[in-house]
Amino acid sequence: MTRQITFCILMTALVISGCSEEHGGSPTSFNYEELPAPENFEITAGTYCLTLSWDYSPENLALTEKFFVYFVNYTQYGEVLYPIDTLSVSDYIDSEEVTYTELAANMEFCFTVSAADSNDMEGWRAEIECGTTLAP
Amino acid sequence: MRLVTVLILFILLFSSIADCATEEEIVYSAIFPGWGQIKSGRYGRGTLFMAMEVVALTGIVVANIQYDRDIEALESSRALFENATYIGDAQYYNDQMKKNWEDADRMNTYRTVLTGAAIGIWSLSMIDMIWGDDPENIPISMKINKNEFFITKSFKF
Repeated sequence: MTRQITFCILMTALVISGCSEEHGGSPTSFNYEELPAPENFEITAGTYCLTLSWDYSPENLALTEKFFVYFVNYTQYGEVLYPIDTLSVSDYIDSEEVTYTELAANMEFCFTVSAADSNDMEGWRAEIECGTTLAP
Repeated sequence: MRLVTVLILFILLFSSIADCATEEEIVYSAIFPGWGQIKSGRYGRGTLFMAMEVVALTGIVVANIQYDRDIEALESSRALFENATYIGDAQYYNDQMKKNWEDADRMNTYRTVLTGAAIGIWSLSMIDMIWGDDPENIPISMKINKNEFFITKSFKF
């Protein structure tokens, strides 16, 4: 009889303890001072080269440490972004500009850019822009 | 937990003054709801209590498995969120994390409700054993032999 009672009490305790909570409190809402995407992002085509340029507002520039440049490749799985360049914000004057040379002629290349803060947290990326190189 | 233990002790103490079931049958019901009723000949009630308890316990097990899966998904999305370096990824994983947390919380609620239901069924079964009606004489008997069995039903006119 004592064994049966002990069994019953232990089983109940096991069922209750098996339901311990692990998920804790609700996750905190996303609270991060996000950097906006660079503005006026455009590509100017040249002979065997492309020049990328964009603007960034001065108030956001204070929070920014660098710009990332991505080459965009379109595959059957969608857009794949390859980081190709990191530009320091100290080079920024009125607008940021970078030129890529020795590209194949009459070829379309797509790019996007973004800003990143000192913690390497990258802000929103600009709309993808494409440019076609010119033949001589 | 303490409340459940007190409840078990309370019912077991009162089982000693029970007049409609033997102490042994009450202990059978304490081990699994409905078992004592079946032992004392109340097959209908016994089956009902047993079935309800099985459904509740199965529900607890299923909800517990799903809860563990949700916790795994939550931990995974939390790790991805904490390691995200792009704002778009961070926002996506944050949304995933919130969704997984809500799923886990909902499963935890189901689990709690089902645990309450299982304890409630167990308590009802114990109350039925201690204070319930005396078992009726069921006019059905069964005899099992080596290669055969007999079910006999008697009628009164």
